[in-house]
Amino acid sequence: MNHIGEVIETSTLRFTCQSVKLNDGPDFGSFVKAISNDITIYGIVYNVSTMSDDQTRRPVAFGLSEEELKMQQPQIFELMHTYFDVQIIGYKKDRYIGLIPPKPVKIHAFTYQCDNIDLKDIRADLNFIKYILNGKTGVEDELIAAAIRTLYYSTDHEESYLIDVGKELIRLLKNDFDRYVTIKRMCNI
Amino acid sequence: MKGKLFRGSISSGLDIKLTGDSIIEDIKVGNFVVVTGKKNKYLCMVTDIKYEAVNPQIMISGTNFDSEIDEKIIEGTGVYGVITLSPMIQVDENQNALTVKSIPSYGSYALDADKDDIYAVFGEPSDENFYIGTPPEMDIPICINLKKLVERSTGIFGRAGTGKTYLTRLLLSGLVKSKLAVSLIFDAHNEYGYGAKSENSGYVKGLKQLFGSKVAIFTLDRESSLRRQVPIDGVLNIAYNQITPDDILLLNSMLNLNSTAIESIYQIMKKEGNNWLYNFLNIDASEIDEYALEIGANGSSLQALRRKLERFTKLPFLMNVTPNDCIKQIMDYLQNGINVVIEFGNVSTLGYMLVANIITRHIHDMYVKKSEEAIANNSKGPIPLVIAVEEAHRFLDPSISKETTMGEIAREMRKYNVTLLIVDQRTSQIDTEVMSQIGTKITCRLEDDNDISSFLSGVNNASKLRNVLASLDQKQQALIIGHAVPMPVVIKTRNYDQEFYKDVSTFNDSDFIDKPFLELIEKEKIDELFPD
Repeated sequence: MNHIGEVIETSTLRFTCQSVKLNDGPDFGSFVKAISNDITIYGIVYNVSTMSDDQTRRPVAFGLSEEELKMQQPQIFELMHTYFDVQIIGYKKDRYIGLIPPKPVKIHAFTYQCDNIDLKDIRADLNFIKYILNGKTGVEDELIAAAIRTLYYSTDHEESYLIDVGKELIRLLKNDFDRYVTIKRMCNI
Repeated sequence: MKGKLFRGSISSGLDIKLTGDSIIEDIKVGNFVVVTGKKNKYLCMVTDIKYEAVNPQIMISGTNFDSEIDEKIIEGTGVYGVITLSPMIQVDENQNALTVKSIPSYGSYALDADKDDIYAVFGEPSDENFYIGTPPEMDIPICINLKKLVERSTGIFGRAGTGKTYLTRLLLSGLVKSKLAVSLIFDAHNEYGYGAKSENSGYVKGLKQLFGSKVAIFTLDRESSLRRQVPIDGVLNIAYNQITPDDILLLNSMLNLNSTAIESIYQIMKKEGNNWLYNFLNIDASEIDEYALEIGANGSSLQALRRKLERFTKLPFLMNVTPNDCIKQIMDYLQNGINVVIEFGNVSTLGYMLVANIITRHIHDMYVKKSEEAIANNSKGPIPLVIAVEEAHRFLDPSISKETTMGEIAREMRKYNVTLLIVDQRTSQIDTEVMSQIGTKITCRLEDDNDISSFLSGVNNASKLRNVLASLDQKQQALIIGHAVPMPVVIKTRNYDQEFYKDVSTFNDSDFIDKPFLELIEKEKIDELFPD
């Protein structure tokens, strides 16, 4: 399995990775995992950005197509990188646990896209909903909707799963039913 | 049904949140639910069903969705079903049924009651415990304690066509079978003694067909009984001299007598003695004025009185001289434990009331005497007597109940082992004083507010039972409260059918249903004369 990124900034609740490919990071709302010592830490991608390595040097618009750019300014593609931010939702040590891991991800750990087995583990534990809703990522509602869509489509579109998730959402959002309605609409299933 | 207790008090009942896949529509008011606490079990009745929401906004906005998934998500989480239970009986660790003095612990599970729970409270069917029906949604016998039933008066109420007669027939059959009491039945509509037509299934058996010689039928209208081919044990005739002025006074509501007329009656009685009524009615109309002068009464008022009393001459059972003293015969039957049904045939209401008054007066005297003798000899009192009376309001109306013997029996004859089984359509027409003395109240559906209020007056938790009462079916459902049941209970009345006949009848032959009745009686007589 090829890694898709490498951790370059890490903390208890989230970590940032540098994507292996420029302009080709993981999707918003997709689940990723990082292997850190004896535990695997799972998270959801909430922000993807591409920028210059050197924060003081801003890219300039050349008015050229991508092919032309590659011919005329190949160094640009070496000086730019794609980064993605991951909100942690659980970890695995022997089995999957939907809690914040005891230690943050190691720096320079490799990051991988979650496969179907991982998604099955994540589905089974509804705690991810709470972490995403309270994640202070600025895009909580969109992120939870994306997560639900991803998890729903990862299997045979089980309605019972949607009902379970819905009930958990209502439980958490009982005092803000309108927000529930919005999220519900964003799921668009 | 499955749920958990989340709120409750002794005064307002227990609130249960439905959990799991319980569907709110499956729960019906009046159902039995058992809440299992840490120490006690509580047998409760569902008195209210409603929705609640964790947030009122959910309840309103939640209706904007129309997909099935949305409904499933909101149901049970945002909006959930709440059933209110009224705890009726608490069963402690030693299986003793007690009155409710505590409530179950928070979070206790509530489940539909099962057979064991019902039996623990109502008892298993036996001679004393009469299987009268089942809970509406279950198939478990609910029993009524007949021994307790006959200790106090009983009332059976309900609108026309809701099954009062059926219930009464069931109860009377149970009483006859149990031999705990002897019954005297004033059968105003000829429904109890012998076969009668039912509203749907054609023909139902009467008590005589089920119990043979344990039931005697007397008729006031021989022609009517013969037409219906009823094997009567006697024709009930009343002699004019058995009627006292008091009997006439009780019919005042029908005769419209004024106070002068009443005084005149006493004047006539003074002159004529016991046979006053016959003699008075036989005075020639032209001699009335002369007669009035003689006894010192007003001529025209005497004329009016005579016109009114002339209605008595139309009663077929009234005779100057009766072949035998039927009333004494009835009393003898009752004392020997034989139940008596008095058929009224096509006799008018006036006749019904007159006879009922005269007979109850005799019973009253007899039972008071017997009881007093029993006290003197320190022996057991007379066998309890249940007087079943239809259209009871005619005797127990507030305006006359203080004077009728029925009223007196209802109020104070319990100690002399006489109780009433009142059958009526309207509870509000019965004197409140009498209503308050009724031990066991059974009602089919009532609709009039006054009737419901007077039925529930003096009942604990009346406001909750009102919901239960209002939800009774039009037919075959009844609410029982009072002395003979440990807790108020809604029942689906047991069917009065072949199965029931087999259960209660003294005729054990499997084919008794088809055998001609008279043949059976014949056989019974032979068996009595020549026992094996």
